[in-house]
Amino acid sequence: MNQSSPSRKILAVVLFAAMMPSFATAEVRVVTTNPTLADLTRQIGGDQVRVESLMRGPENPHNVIPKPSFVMKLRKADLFVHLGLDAEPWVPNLLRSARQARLLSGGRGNIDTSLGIVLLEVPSQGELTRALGDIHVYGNTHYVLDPLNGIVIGRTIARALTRVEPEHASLFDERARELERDLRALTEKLTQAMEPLAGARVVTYHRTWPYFLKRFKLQKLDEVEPKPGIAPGPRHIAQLAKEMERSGVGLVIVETFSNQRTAQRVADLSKGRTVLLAQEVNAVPGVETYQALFEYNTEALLAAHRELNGASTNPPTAETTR
Amino acid sequence: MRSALALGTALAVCCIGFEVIAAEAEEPSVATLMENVKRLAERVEEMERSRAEDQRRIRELEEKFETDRYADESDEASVVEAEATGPVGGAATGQGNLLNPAITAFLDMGGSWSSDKDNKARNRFTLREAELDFRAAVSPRADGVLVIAIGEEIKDPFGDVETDWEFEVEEGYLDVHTLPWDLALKAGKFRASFGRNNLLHTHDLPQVTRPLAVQAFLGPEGLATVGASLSWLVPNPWDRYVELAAQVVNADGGSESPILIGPGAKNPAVLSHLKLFQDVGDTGSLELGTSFLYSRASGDFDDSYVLGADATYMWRDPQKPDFRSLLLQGEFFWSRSDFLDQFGGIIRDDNWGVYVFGQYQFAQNWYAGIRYDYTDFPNLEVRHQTDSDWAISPYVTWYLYEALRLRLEYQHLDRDQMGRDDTEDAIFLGLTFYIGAHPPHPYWVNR
Repeated sequence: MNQSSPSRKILAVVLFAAMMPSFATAEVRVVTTNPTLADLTRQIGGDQVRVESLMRGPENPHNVIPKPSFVMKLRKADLFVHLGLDAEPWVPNLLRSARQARLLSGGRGNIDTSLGIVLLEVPSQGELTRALGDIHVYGNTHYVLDPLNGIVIGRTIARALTRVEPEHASLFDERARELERDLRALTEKLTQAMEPLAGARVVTYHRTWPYFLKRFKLQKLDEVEPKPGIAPGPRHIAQLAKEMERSGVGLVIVETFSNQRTAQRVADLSKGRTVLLAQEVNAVPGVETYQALFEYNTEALLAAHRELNGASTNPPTAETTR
Repeated sequence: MRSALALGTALAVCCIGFEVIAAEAEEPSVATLMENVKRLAERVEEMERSRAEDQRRIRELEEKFETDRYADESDEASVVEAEATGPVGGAATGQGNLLNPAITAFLDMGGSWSSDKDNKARNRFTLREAELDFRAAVSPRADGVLVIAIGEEIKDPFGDVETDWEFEVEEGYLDVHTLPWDLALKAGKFRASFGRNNLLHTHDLPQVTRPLAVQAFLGPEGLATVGASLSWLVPNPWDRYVELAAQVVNADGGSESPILIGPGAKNPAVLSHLKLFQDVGDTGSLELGTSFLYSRASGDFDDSYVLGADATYMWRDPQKPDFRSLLLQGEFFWSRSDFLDQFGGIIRDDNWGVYVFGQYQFAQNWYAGIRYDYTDFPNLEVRHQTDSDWAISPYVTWYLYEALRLRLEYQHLDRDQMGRDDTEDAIFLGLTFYIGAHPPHPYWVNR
């Protein structure tokens, strides 16, 4: 008996140690729709959160398949962070299947990051028809692509985390401020870096980029898609290429979920070049944070611009990154 | 603007001064003079007040002008602080229609060419079904769903062609989707949770035709009757998706269903479905299910039951998820029913059926697939136990737009009917589209 007691003590200590993490790390469990919101949540929540994204980086946020395994992830979530608006049409049905009242629209755990965002491309009344393609009824939903909107999203997430974990309120608040400082500095740095492209016109494949273009002082000549979500026909491609040549526009911005070959054909016809940009964190390898997304995108654009003007080698493009 | 105002004020003061002088010339009494001076002072005071007000408004306008210019230049503060310079998000989610239900109208039309010239339902254009789908929240935790179908029906395919429009409440139920303990409840008329294909409305079918086994075991358009359904997400140590559904439905409502036969059927019939779902790798998934349908003795029938098993595998290309995908699905049905023969003896009737199909997405808007069917005919009023069909059906699907789909299916059908062998080759064309809100559908249906 006496001989076994030290081993019992050890066992008790080991058991206690094994149980410790469950007390020490009472994490807030957060599920986000996409990896960009997951990264922002991680930046605000730090060690106090465990974050998981439903969508993968390269996917089209509008066409995600809401698999039953998503339901299992939501069951344990304290917070569900999503883009709101009609950005993710698969979300309302998913939430109905999850059977968690707190996550339903209007519930404590349902966090809509579009709150407080100034939207672009808001359709006026009377324009809402599918004749305009897959339009969004509240306005363009790709608002995460303005780095300063990241500040608003950060604050929304900090407020939500505070509701779940009030004891860490000051920590979340401080991280939101830190994110704000960081994003302001980054925006200033990148806007300066993008000076050579200021006012330049580009072609984008999908209507993904208005927030990004506006922030970095680029202008859109046209889109490869004749209407959002509608694949271009050969005539549209030829006309677009002609228009690009006439206007001296050479950059075709394409996102990972769009047809790279069609984008390349437009670029070939117009003697321009495609630039594959990350529309989402993890959309392209190496873009693992919200800040890295803007660093990567501006570098890719500058490199393509330099190459078009015959001054650089091997910029990151659709061909080299895929 | 400021100088114009000052000039106006000066002019006004001059005019009043002139009035005062003119009055003085007429009646130069001290009292009148004092009165006039007092009036003058009052008017000057009033004008000063009005000028101050104007100045304040000018300042306001100037400030607003500055703010707007600030916003136009996309200054950080205006975007981040979300001044009321543009519409602001966060007001709503989803594509509702304010407090009206989300409304979708589907149209499913097409035609067929067939080697079977006797079947009047073939070799003609058809408007197979028009469907109106209404959905809205009834309470925070419950939705109301109403699906009205109007379908073209050919009364006697082997007699004179006479078509009629059949109006039907295809589904109408209260869906209490969020209950404690991971429960959900449905009450009303709904598509029975038997296998996978039966949950689909005609316009959502992967092929133009419904699998033969589903038609034979559950009814030409599948099984939907009135009742209640309770579903439970079963907690399990492996943290897997396990869903168990139990349904109690009217047996007499499904007159087209070979199992829930006729008006003499005893209520209720009982259904259950168990579903297991598992992610396979990054972008694949596997779903397995078993189903059970039990119907009590009625008339000269003894108890009948159907057992089902289903499997669905789905995969999307991790690099090009919107461009390449694979879907494999199969369902198996087995039924047993006993009935009395004319001498009072019991005849046992066992039947089985199966379908499997594979479908590959080879471009963003194109899918090609092939389906194999085999089925017996359970529990028919005319009990030819040896009857069976098998068919092979290659098909292609083209989404011209998100809301507009074209399907073309070739079917080679081999019938063994009353000991006679018979074949039919047919081509089916299906055009489906919807107008209105984006409709919900099971995750494995393309769009």
